[in-house]
Amino acid sequence: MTNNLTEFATDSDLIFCMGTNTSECHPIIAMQMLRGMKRGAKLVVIDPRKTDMAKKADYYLQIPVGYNIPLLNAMMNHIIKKGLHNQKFIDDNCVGFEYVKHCVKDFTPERVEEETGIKASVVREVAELYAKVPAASFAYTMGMTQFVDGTSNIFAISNLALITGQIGRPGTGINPLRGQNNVQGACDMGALPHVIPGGWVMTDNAQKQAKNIWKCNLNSEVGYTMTDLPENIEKGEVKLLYVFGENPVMSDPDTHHFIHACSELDTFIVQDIFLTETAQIADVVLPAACWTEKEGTFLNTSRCVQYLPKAIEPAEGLMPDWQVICEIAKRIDLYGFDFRTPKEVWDEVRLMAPAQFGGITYERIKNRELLAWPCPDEEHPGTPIQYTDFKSFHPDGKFKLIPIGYVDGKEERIAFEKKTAEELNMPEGYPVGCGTMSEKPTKISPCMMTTGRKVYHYHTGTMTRECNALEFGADIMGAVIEISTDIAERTGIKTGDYAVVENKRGKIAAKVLVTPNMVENTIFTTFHYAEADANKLANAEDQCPFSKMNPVKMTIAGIRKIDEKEFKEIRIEDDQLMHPSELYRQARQAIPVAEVSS
Amino acid sequence: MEKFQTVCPYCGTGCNIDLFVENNKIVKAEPTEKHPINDGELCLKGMYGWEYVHSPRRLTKPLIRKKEGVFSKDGKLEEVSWDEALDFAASRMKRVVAEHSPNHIMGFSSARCLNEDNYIFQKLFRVQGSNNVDHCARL
Ligand code: SF4
Ligand code: SF4
Repeated sequence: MTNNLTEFATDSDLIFCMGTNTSECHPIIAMQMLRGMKRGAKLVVIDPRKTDMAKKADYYLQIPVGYNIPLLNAMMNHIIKKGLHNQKFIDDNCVGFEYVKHCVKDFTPERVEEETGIKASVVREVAELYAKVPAASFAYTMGMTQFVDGTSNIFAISNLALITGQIGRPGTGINPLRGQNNVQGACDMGALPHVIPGGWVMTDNAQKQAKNIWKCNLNSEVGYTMTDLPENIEKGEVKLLYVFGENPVMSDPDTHHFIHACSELDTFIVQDIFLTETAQIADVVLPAACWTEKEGTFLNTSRCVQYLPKAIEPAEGLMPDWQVICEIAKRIDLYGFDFRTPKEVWDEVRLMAPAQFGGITYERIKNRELLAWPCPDEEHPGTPIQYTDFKSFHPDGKFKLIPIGYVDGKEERIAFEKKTAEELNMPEGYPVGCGTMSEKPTKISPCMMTTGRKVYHYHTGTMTRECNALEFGADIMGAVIEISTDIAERTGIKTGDYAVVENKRGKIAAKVLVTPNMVENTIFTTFHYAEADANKLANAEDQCPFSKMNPVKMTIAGIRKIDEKEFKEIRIEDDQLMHPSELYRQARQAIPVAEVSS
Repeated sequence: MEKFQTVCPYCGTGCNIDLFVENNKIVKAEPTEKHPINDGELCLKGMYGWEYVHSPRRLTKPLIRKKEGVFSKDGKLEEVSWDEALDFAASRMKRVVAEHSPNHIMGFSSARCLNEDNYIFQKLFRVQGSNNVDHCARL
């Protein structure tokens, strides 16, 4: 987030939520937003599903899955046409306005109405509202990023914020709401193939820091991404995989392919607190101390570093994850793993990235100072709002506006990018974005399918499903397939029926809930449940050309009604795929969990 | 009963929780009053999501896949000592790097774990010459 999440309550005049089911996924951020509304802020929600927040919104626009770019471009079209853009902000701080102007000219609010049924007048009103209010904040999550055009979606948001100058002030900004407690921290700590604390791996600064502090030569080539992994294993390019604290068998798209690829590894190491679906196919499983059993820090979505004390003793023999990893490193005779406390580890992070973390000491955060990076020295109060000087991170300090179009099929994308670069006579290497659908409905797979979370559970359920209050709580439905009313009418499937959803990658079975809250021709499920994991059907072939993200938020599928017998057969098959370990089955029998039940 | 102020382990909001601990067991969680992020409120996950810590299904011993007492791909996961598990993991990693290349090892780090855990994990790969480190930020 460029801004702090409390500003929704205190400063924003407009909260613009796109592709975020805030009240289920980030309930406390939703609370801050609702406090903002009480103060008088307006709320716009754009989502294929009519979520709780959508029901509370001043404007709700129900777009089809994957329709982000045409809508955002249409808003900009109207803003520019009406002269509501912030010319001074653009002149002083941005480059590339003429590119954006060119690219949005074909996207009119009328076209949106024609293609989606959303009234052109509504598109115009929300566009004007965003441009005119003193402080508009744009919030989004995976509903924007998990597409083949995920990065272009984000470019489009940034274009909109920049041409209206809605950045760098309280209550404004571009605000991804981070899904996992420490996803921001994992990124900032260098758990990415291109970056270490200290910069991108090929930069002089990163090279210098690695040499001085780690005493090693840092590889300057970007590493493999997670999405490339199954293919890299099959090509023999990855022989050893070490997974810690994640459950990719369930969270990665195309489950069958992933499991098959892992069977070809020379060595598969998994470090986790439970015998997860992933640990069950590992060669070595290393347990570890968990949350509250170890001391350390998290980084939240507003870039604040927060301290967690050790509150309980773990079972005998269990070490914190960092210590288990240090033990392995020492046995390989690697230099620089003699840490005794998490504070010593953090102090090395501060040395590696002093401009970002230099001033964030254990002492300060133990005293509950809420410090957002960058915080370069110990007197620095932290930086809750980024870009207050309206300067970007590029060497010239200017923000780049990126031309973005939309084409009918992914094959046309490259031609579009080339054509645009030529037409606009753009300098070499200037990015061009382009939206498209990764898959379109076919005869066999006539429906759009998308995924998400429920408020009770979290992600692959490794932790929350072990909490009885959450797993067995009163109004919690378990795995269900939600379908739009037109699918129900077409297929005759009713709420409470068993159905199977399938495509060429896999199938899942569950009970159906017909919901009027869903945009037409769309199926929704979660990925919390091993017995019906939506990721079995997810698309792992297509990737966003910039981020390599797979379009897990969008695929195509067919649906048909089944009887209870077939339902049970599919569930048993799934159970065997997901839980091959005898140890796991024994433990489950001894202490039953809600499993093959519906 | 002892009180610890900590941070919720679920979504990225970073709500502060007052955890109450008795005889080394968490007995309840309450929202930290007046904290700027969550100001005395928590969602269901923050309030009730701590029970897994004490789950009888938690792993406590390392496991290696074995058949007739030795490592085997067609074996079953068996409990082993820490020394055996750590030596095994280290020697396999060392061997893959030596026999193939640093690029033949890959790590998935965790957006659920501490900054300190993540930092050490990526350092393990980087100092061996591999940038093949990623986590689920994309998922
Ligand atoms: S899984 Fe998705 S929502 Fe969750 S943290 Fe990772 S990227 Fe964010
Ligand atoms: S209490 Fe709820 S909203 Fe707050 S961090 Fe935890 S999961 Fe997120």
